[in-house]
Amino acid sequence: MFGEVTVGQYIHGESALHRADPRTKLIAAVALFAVVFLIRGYVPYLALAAALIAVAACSRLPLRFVLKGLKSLRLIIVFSTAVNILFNRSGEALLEAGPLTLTTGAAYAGFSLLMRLTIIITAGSVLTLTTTPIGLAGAVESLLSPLKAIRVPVHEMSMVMTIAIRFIPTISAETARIMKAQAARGSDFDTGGLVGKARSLIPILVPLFVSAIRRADELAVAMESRCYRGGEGRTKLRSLRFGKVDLAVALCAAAAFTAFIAFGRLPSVF
Amino acid sequence: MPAHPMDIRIKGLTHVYMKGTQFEKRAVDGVTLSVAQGQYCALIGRTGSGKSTLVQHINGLLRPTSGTVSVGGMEVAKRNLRAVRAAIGMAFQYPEHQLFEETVHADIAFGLKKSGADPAEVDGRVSEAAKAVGLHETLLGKSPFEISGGERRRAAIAGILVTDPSVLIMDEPAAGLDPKGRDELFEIIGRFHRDKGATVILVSHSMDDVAAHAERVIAMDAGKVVMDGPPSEVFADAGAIEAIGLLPPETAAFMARLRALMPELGAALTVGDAAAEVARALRARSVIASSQGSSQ
Repeated sequence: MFGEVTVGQYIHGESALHRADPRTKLIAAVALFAVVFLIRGYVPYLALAAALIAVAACSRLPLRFVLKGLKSLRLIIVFSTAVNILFNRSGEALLEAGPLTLTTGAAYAGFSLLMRLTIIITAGSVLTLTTTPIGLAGAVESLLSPLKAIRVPVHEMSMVMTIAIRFIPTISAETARIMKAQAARGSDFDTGGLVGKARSLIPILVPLFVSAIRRADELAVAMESRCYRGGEGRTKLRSLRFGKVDLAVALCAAAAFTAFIAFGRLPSVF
Repeated sequence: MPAHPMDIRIKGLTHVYMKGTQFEKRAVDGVTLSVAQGQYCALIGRTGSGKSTLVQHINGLLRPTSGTVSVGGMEVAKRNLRAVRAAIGMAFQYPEHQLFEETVHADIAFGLKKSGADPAEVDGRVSEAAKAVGLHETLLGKSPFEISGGERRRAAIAGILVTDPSVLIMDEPAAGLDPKGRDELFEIIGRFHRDKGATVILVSHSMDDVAAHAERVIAMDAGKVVMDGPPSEVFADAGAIEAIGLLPPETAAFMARLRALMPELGAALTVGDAAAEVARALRARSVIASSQGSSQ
């Protein structure tokens, strides 16, 4: 149940994509999300998907890992695509089967939604698979640092994010352990109605919260005893540096996105 | 004692974690083992040797990748899970982390109620279990979060003993306890073992605890059982114990060094046995010395 948590899973590698500055990758990913919604037509979406596959291939990660994110969200993808195909009535009829009609508009709506979701999820996976959670949090902090001028606690927010990510595996291991301990005492998580199932969560959630709060307390003491006092004047072990790889990645991404937007928005392209 | 003894039989058990991924790990590798009802066994081995994985198959918390496990003739499978878990009490490391109810009493009663015990019996059995672990009656009405750490550990153990399990599996039960708490805990386990005829499987890194309490020692390394026998036999070979990443009990090591001075010394694993053995050897010497003295 909790063994398959892949959020923020990082797989170590030496590819250019791994080595690139997390800020570059984060901006490129955000730009890609924008592009996904700006382009139109079958060909631009397929071309964008192909480009993304090429990028994923650069990371030299096994394809299985890259597509894992899709697997966990397959229900949402299938459901929303199906809804779009079934209830869209625009354009000419392509196929008729009893009460159901597939129109050109419906086919395109289904297709574009499928492509948008798939591209966004896959791009997100490529980003998190090639970037350490610490790197990502550092990138967010660095990119948001102008907000410090208006007293937004950017460093603290990034620290909260880093700690949260760091504790996902710890807490999920803890959950598994508590579930086992309660199961050994006769707890049953599979049977009973909705109320019964909700009730069976109490023996798990209470100890889990108690231990999470205890952990937070211990962590706070550990951080303070190492003289942690927030972001003011703090340096980093791995400071972010914008190097040659980043320039290359950034230029490639910028050129590709411009081309996609220019080409993908032409109304004549289908 | 139940009508048919709750013998544990493990046949060709293999467990592979994360099968088919780059993280694949063969934690238990073809283990065949039986434990008769009423035995006090210790399972030893370095961290990652597969001890915890192995014991979690006995009450079906983990499913074998291959092989079978049966308890009292019942195969540990989904259809028997309820009956098997009712017969087996299991404490993980730091069992006090499982406490969640509003009162200590309710927490001890949790497993009992889950097993469908007669509500009229619950109070009596909870009091009995609390007494067995030395938990004062006045603590039963308190929240488990306002009693001391040692009392929490006792409350958690009481919540396991309360269902009268035929088999008690303890994974490092004494971790984090002070020496007195440690002795008292082993006394509780020992008393339960003797009075109820329960099987005890103790998973431990403390060879001294193992030597002092277990009648059978099973040593694991890299997912396989590498030694199995009474403590005197398993700990006799210090080299073999060290080869699997463990250290023999301190008393055994002490006796081995003392033997360099007194070659006639026998083996001893506990402090009491060692004292008796040294006394015997010294007495034998003085008898020899005095008889030599008298013959001159």
